[in-house]
Amino acid sequence: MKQQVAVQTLRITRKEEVRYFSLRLPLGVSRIIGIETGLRLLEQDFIVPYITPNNQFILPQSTIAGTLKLQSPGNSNLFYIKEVVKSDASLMQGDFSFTYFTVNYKDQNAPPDFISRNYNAPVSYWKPSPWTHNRLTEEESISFEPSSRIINGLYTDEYGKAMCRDCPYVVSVYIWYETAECKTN
Amino acid sequence: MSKLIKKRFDIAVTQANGSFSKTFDLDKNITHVKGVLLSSDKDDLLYFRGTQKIEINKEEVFPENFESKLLLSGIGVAPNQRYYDIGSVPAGNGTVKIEYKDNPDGRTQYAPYRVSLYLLCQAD
Repeated sequence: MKQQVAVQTLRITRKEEVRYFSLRLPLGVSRIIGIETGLRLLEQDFIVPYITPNNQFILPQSTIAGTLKLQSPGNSNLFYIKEVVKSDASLMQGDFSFTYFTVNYKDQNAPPDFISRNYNAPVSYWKPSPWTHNRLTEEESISFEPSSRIINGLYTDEYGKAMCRDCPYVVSVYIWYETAECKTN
Repeated sequence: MSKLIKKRFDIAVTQANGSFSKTFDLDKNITHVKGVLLSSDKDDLLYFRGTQKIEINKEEVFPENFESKLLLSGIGVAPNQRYYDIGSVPAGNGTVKIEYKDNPDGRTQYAPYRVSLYLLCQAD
């Protein structure tokens, strides 16, 4: 058995946009073994997670970019549904080196009284980011035997809907599959 | 007796929205490639902007538009688990080709950066 991945990129430009797509898998695919998604913004991101003393121990809600649904023709039902998340807002949870006293007082989004109260606090530039605090990136495991080489997909935008305007971005859908390797004697 | 060795290859990303292709040669005694890892001197740019295609011995291991963020490992990952497991890909003629593409992203401002490709290899 050999594992490979197919990539489909979708450019979303309009609010509440709905995109249908079809992806043709190569010959010899025996099983779909995993799905991954990625997202790239095409404009500046204005939503910056902001931690205050009041919500420091509350899990903030991650911004949902959209809903992805995958179906294989011939199989009656959808085999995969996922809410694509723009970014993980809970990265700093459980990281007690990240406190509002040492990081956020210089944040331009912080209220003025908050800045004045903490102006002399020690500075820490150790800010949690996905490229430091992410867990091991692995595909979401599924096990599905498609009855056809075509995979149909439906992506519905939620981010533009939440922002009440057009928010352009690119979504990448990765479909990991297993192929039976041909053995020649 | 086989042993595991790590190889590092660098690509300089000198232009925003540009493509950079480079081919590297592995040592003659390397028989298989078992893991892949990407890193950079500006992790945020690699995380948000990078996509690449990687071929080992002319066999496509990661296709075009595969995001670099999926091959990055942060400090939250145990050091011994940071390589992306690709099974055991035969090194064959020992050529490793990477086509890296920088894509503009609204969360980052471009500055020249370095992309490092690390390979976990099995050698005789």
